[in-house]
Amino acid sequence: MANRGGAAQRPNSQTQGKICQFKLVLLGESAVGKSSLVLRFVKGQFHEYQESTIGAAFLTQTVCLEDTTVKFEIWDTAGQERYHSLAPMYYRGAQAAIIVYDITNMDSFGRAKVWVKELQRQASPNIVIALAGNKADLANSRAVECDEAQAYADENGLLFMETSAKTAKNVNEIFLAIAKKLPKNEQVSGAGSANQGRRLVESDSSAKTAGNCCK
Amino acid sequence: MAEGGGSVLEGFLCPVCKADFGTAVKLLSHFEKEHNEDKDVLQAFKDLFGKAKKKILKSDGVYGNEGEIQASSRKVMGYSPSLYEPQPIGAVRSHSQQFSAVRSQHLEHYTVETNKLLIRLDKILKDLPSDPLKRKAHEQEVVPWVDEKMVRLCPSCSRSFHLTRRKHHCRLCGFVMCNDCSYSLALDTARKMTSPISQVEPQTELQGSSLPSQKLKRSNSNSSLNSVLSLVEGVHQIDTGLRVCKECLHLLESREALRESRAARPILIQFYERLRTYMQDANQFLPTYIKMCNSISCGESTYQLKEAQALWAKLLRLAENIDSLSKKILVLGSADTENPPRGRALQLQQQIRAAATAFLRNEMLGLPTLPTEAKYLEMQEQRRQELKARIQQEQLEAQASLQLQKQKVREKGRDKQTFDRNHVNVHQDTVLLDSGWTPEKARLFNSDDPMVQQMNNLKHYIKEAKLAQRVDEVEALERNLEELQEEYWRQQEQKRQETAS
Repeated sequence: MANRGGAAQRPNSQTQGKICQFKLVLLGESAVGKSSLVLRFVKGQFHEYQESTIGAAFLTQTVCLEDTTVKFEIWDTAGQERYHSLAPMYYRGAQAAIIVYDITNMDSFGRAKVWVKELQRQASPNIVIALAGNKADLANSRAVECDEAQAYADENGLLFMETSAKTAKNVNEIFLAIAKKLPKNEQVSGAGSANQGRRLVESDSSAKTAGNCCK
Repeated sequence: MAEGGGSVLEGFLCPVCKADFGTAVKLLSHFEKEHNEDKDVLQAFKDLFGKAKKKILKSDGVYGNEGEIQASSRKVMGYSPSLYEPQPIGAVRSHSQQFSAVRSQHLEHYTVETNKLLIRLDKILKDLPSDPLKRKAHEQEVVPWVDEKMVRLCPSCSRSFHLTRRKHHCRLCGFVMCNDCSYSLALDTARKMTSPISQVEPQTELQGSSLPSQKLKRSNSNSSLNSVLSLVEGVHQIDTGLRVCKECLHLLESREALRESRAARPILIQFYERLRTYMQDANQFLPTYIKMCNSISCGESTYQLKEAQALWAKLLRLAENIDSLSKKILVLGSADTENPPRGRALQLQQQIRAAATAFLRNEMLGLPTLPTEAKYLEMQEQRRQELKARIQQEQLEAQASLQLQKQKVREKGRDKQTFDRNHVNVHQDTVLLDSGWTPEKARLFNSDDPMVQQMNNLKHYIKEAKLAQRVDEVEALERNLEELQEEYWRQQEQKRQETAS
């Protein structure tokens, strides 16, 4: 912990080594594919029979944008109603949220809307919300029209994509889109500020010198 | 019994033959045997003894009697304290005032005497000439000596003075005594007595409590016979001491003892202070150790493993010391079966022990352990690999971004479709699949309360993250666990309040 704090305070002249850390939370009805989506993003894996999540799962993944490295701290919450009480704990400090629904299930879209409302009411005002219509590979049995969802997303200022954890369609894309949309201000790096990712700054040169002594 | 030459006899005397028999039983048996014919006298005698016996038994055998009565009453109708009315207290007279009056008189006397002696001692010690003759004069100037011609016998051993048992003067009160009855007060000790407050170590004070009061020869002076004798016998002259009488020495010594007892600290305080220093040491080393341990378990080479191990050993030793010392404090004085610690003293000892164990439990027990040598090397290697990989990654990124910038500069003039460009960039951004991490699912914990379950999950995750050397993850997880615990506690509290109201 101490060395981490030290690293974060290290002065940085270049934008190259900027690392931002964001807390992202996945919400949505049960069995819409939240865990599958995030497992595809983090591990590149897909399980046909993904077990239902208990409580909340924790995953991390790093993506590189052109000038920053964004580290996602992903909280994959359980969709089952009995775990609903846990969700506020996870979206409270989150900078980003993906609300997932199943395009073959109209109810799950309705539940997604409820989640959006709840986030707008309860979560941090600057939270980046993305709407993901999962199971896009099952377009044959589609119940939610893409246009309808897009319209709803536009209305509420959400990012929207139809994704498929099975085919990996738009999975990385939706996370990258979020990463891009997240504010990465250099000024606001105060610890504990709710909507700004905690920035871990590691200057390039120092990393290189460290490398030299190890070679 | 005033007859018989006016002498007063006392004891268990036979009223007829006036012989002393020592005990009442013996006297009675003697009387019955020897003076049996005198029945009346015997009867009167027996009555007298019986009365006295009753009186004695009453005075100190009250409990026994009462016990008997109680026992019998218990047998008959069960014990009932209401049957016995409380006995009114008889005539009371307080002697404490009288006692304190006598006491304060005594104390005052002693204080005055002691102070007088101290003042004299101070005067004598102040510029005391080293020359024996001058010294004698100086001593006599401060304390006028009693005329030795008035004293025929030594006041303390009442032996006569002659050529070999010469007269000596106490330097503090001026009285005369013989050599055997005089004591020598070492000048060093005397100086210590007169110094305002001696800030001396308790141990040396303890040694000082047995004042060196050796016998000494008469001070060396040309006119004294002893000086000649000492020359003849080759007796070593101790001229550093002051000759004092028993009374003066006693007064001074008791004052010194009092002063020491005031300055001396009980063993408990000494133990406690040592305990505190151990704890402070531990507190001082703990953050360093935790920092070292964290650094080392990340595979960093900022600290030497040996250093950390040494610190660990030191902390362990401190913990042991704290434990044993606090135990010692707990049982302090309990070996003394007659007067074991009670009340507040015992409570204090117990609380010190409790505080020490709490300290050990909170600060020392949860300490992270260091990896073994082999494990450490492995971790270092791992970290080296990671660093290498990261550096390569960063270099690649740097090159990529450089190219990108060049491209941008090139394209700036001819292509205005920046939006498209950016859109393409999205696809260029790489997701680092190898850096993704998630703990293994834990299915072991099943609880009805989702919050409890999640806390169990998190604990499991933290363990895994620690195993995987994922510092950031550990921190995030720990933060979350904390939040959850707070929330859980709050909910419980709320529930409790609800059930209460």
